[in-house]
Amino acid sequence: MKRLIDKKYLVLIIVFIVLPFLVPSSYVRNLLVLAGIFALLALSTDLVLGYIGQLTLGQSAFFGVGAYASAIIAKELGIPFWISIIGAIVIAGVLGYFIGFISLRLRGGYFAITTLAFAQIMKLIANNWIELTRGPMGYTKIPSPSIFGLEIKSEIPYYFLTFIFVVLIIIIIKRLIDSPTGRAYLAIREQEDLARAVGIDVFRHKVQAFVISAMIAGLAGGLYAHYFRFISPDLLGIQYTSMALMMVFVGGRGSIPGVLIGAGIYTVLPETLRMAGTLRMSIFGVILLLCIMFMPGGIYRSIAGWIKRKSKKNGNIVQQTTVS
Amino acid sequence: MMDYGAAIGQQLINGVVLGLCYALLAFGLNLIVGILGIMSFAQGEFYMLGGVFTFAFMQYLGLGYVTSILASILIVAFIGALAERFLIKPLAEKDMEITLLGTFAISIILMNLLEYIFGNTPQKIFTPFKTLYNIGPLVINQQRLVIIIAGILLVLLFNFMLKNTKFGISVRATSQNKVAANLVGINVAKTYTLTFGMGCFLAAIAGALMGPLSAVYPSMGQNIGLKGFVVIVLGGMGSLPGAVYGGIILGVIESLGAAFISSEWKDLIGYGAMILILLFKPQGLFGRKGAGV
Repeated sequence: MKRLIDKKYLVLIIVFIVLPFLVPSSYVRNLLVLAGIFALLALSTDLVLGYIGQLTLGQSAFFGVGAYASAIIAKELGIPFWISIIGAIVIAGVLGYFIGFISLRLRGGYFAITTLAFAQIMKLIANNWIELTRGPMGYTKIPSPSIFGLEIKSEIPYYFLTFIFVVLIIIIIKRLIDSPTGRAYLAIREQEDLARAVGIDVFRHKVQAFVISAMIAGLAGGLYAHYFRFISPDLLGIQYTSMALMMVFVGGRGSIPGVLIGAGIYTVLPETLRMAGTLRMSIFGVILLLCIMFMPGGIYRSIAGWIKRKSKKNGNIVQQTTVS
Repeated sequence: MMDYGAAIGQQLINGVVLGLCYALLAFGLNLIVGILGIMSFAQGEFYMLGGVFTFAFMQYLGLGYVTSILASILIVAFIGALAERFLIKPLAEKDMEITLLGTFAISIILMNLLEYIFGNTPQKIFTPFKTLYNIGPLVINQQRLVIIIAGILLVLLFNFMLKNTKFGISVRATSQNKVAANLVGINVAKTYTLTFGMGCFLAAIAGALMGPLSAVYPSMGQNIGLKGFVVIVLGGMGSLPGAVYGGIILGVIESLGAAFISSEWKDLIGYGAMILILLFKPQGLFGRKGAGV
């Protein structure tokens, strides 16, 4: 059984290694890099949304702060990407601790509007602290990462850089969720008062998940900054938060494959919806609305459930990894 | 010294005008929060629809300002009622956070749909109320005067309606006890739909009235939707007079802050105040203890 699962992952990893060489244009390869970065953002959002069950509307703050932090450290201090990205993760984590410590005292809708207010405040700072961020015109000429003197600049090398981080983060999240801490998260999501009654320190666990989530979002922001080499305060805008929410809810909250599928769909759909122009975001909104109305578990669970029912009907016994 | 006083007076007038618009929007939001128990993230978009529709009716149909306002607010109220009936109601039967996310999705859809139709260039609404009045050293234009009068009248009207009409009584009964209201023969579902439509109606009036003073464009509702929450947190969730006081306080603080501290950082005051109040005085500045949603 264990070997079977390993084989499945191996196949997936090989598919993703070969993928960028199979796609026809640099535009699509570009989309693949983007999908990886957004997958990180979606995974970070899901940690708060899917595992401790809090509706956060402030994820763009950590994404944007991570982007600015890594860009500014790398450019102004001339420090290589590998250290500046750690700086971004740490700074996003500290900010996450601060915001989480305040907003996680509030529940439900109050938590949501507080995180949104914090994101707006961060955007305000990015727009107006001109000496540091260069304001609304954006921050340009961010250095590319390099390894052994080779610049990681074009799509394929950057794809692999992102891919490594995505795999790393998936492993970290998976281990976290399977650990006693992860089970405490789920207990908090399902029954907060009951979790408290059995001795789980609810607030501490919530803050912890929030900080880890902020750090992953900061990493995603840093990767974004060094890939596009241009960032603007728009990165802290609500559209990135809504994008992450769509990926999580459409794919399936509280499930890693679900969120990854959500990120994939979100990044591939623009290509098919290209003629629609600005109508695209409206279509995404409709998809989000339909998903929460008719598929509250997300696409992944619906498909997995459908396959399961189908195989049962045929009388086959198919190994199925459990979906929590 | 006189100049300084006049400048403060001028900003106070502007602040009250802005504040009354916040108050109308927040009054509507508070109806929705208090009666349906839903935090609507789409309120800013209904404000935007009021402004953009008014502009569109004037620009493309050649209607007058007042006629355009009346037409657009009725349409917005209708859209709001439809949204409640067909989108929010089925979600509200599931759970609160899903509903919240649903209103968020509605706001994304409306904003981007309008941007697709009208583009995102800020447009100016030309108001016929252009006369300037001098009160001592202060100047007030007719549009601001119209906002002050309309704002006060609307608040009084809605207050009267909620207190004295049959519909108002059924709204208040539903907010106090849904099951009991249902038992005494009040159509709860209909009350919800009408209340949501009314909330959107108030937001749309605010958007249409503010249009000539600032520009109208599809993403104008983004910040104001959150401001609505700032106002009702200041005034107390579910407290209708609180929404009016909170709106005027926020408007005045922002105007004074923009004039004397910095116009770039003025939004910080409102958001910061909201977070602090939520933490330390969650019933709001005017709310009773234990009140709220």
